[in-house]
Amino acid sequence: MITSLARFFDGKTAKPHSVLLELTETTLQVKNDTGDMLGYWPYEVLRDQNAGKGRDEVSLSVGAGDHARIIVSDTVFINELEKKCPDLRKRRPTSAGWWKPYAYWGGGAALSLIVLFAFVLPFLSLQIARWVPDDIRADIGAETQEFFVKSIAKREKIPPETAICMSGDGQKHLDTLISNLAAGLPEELPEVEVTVLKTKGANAFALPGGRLLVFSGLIDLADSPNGLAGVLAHELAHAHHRHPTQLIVSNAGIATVFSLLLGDVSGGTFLATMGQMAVGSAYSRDYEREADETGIELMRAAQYDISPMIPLMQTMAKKNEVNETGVLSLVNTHPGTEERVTLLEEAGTRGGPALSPEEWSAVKAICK
Amino acid sequence: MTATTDTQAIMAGDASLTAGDTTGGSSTSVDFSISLSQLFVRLVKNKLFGFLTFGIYRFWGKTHVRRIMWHGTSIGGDRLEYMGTAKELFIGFLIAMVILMPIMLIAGLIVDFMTAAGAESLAIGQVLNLVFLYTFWQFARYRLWRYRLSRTSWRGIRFFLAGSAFKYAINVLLWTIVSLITLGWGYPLLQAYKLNYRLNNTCFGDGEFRYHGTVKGLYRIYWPAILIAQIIIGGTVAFLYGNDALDVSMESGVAIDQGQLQFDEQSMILFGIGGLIIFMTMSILSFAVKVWEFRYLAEQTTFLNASFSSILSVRSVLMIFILLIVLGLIGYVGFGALIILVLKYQTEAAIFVFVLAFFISYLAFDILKMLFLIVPLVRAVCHSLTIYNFEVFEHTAANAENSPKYGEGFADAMDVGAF
Repeated sequence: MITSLARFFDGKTAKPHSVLLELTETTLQVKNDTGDMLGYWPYEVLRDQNAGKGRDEVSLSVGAGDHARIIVSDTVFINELEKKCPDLRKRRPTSAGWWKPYAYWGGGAALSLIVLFAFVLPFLSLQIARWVPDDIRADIGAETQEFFVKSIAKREKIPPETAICMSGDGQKHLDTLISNLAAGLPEELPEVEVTVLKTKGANAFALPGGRLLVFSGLIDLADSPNGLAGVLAHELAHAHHRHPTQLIVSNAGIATVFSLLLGDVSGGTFLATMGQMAVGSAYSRDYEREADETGIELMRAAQYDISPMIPLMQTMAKKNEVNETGVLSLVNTHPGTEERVTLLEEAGTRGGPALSPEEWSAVKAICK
Repeated sequence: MTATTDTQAIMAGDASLTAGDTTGGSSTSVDFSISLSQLFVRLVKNKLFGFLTFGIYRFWGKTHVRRIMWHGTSIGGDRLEYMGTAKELFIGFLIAMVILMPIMLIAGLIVDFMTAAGAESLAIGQVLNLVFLYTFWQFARYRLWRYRLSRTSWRGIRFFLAGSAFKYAINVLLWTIVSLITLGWGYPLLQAYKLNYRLNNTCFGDGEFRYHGTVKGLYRIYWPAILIAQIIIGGTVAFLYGNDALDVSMESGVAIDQGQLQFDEQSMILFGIGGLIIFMTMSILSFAVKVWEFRYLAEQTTFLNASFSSILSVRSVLMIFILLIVLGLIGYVGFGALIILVLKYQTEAAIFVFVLAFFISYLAFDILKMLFLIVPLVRAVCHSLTIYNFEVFEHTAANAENSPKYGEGFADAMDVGAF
């Protein structure tokens, strides 16, 4: 007969009791000092609560909700117990329906995530973008432009003042072009202004408030004024739909959600950035599609032929494929070039040139 | 075939009870011993699985680590038991996600917009954000303590933390504002509030802990530190200002930004020395003060008739940090050497090795922090403790008080707590 003395805690008070344990065929018998039977602990539900393996002590329990414990530190007895009770260090079998809270709350969290990304965030960003007063949008636009000018000046190693191209009559002609395009919009933008920045990249941006930034590389690349006009119309459409403001809002929202989701996991920042790019580019693709459509309408309203934009876009797409700049580029987040070309081809070749040859050469020389 | 051991030996847990006899009652010590290799393997596993599962494994990982830490702690020969499960943590996290995401989203958006709208509202936005995060962090911490205590059992009886996390967070915010306004002189009031609220709400079974500390007692600990800190900061600023090393006008910041103004070398050195003096003194002071505060709170806490004391020394805590700093320096030097090698050879293989080393050291940081900072600190704290009139614990009965069903969600989302 295998027996051992042990300490017993009944789970009701913290007082230790000395007990005598005895191994029978299917149960562990527990008797008190005086030999009275305290209980039978069946092997099938008996588990060791200790965390460390290889400890010469076990803390026995018969159920997850049962706080009674028997502490045995007799190694010979523990060895015998292990033989009788092979599940001693195994997990307790899970109760039926254990998965329910996972399913409910996991489903709830997933659902709220989907609702958040698919409806709440786009809706919220649109509402906020609409609600933000014109002067604040203009302020944000001005700040962002300043940031762009500064960082381009730094990259090109030139003073910030000279990063903005203003040579000759180019600016005047661009202003006329943009106001012709803006005339097609149903509402007036607070600040329609084109600024050409001296840098090799072929790109254009719309900033909150209606400011447009054009990189001189784009003007160099364009063979015809209408290609440039098409890009400007597209950017103007972004400004009209308040896409830049929406993008700021939704990016901030996405970042917050991902940082909450991932916690302190190593590489969490990396994963968060990846997730943000994935969700963010889905949003921007929607914006781009909308801007493409409105851009075509604007060109049509100003009676400019949009077809020269097709070769310009294809060249830009090719260029960006080879020369990945790493910054948010016009093409990366855009719908597939083919899809956009189809849209432009459908628009046809109606209308005339956006600028006269003299005006166009003045624009071409704006950074000279 | 066994059972020849006598009751005395089996009751080994009680052997230490009779050893140190003071004031008629029995006293006992707290022991902490874990297998470092077991913990190390566990931490490495946690890192790997955490990375592979996009962080979802962290709840399981944390639970394993806590089980090791809790079971390594024994009071009067009986181990603490960690009864929390990963499932509770995970579901707590999911619930927090459902509740938190909209709140954080809106708070984030507001701050973002204030940031974008200009310098003035940026400052307001940042302050509001900080206040919100600070308060929420305190709230999350309180809930975290509550969960952990409710999942900690000793001799089959659970601990518990009563009180309201919300009330605690708001009061901590108010006292923090007071101590900021008074340039640190209100800090002991903040600490007094924290200790009072936390300890007086801590229960073991049906017994309650009581904290008898006074604001006066905390001032006795803190006043030299506050005074010294103010003198040092004031003195250093005055010294640097006198040497023109620090131009405190607003324009200088802008000028530095634009590269129009540059510190000369001598000023830079003075600036560095000043910073180092401040940093060293403040670190040592803060360690010392925290150690003294811990000893004070141990002495001032009772549980029914039982009382506590701690002989934690400033030196032992400092030694842990010094060892950590030395390790850190070795790591930096090794990394520097690696960068030099990469720059020298500039081959793809070298860059690959560099990236790999960077990744490994990134993973290793948390593991080293646990093994060389947290474990030694916990050990030092446990070993410093003595409990008097220990036998009153035996008369404690279990409490029917409800414990939280799911745990720590908010704290987890906020990244509160070390493990």
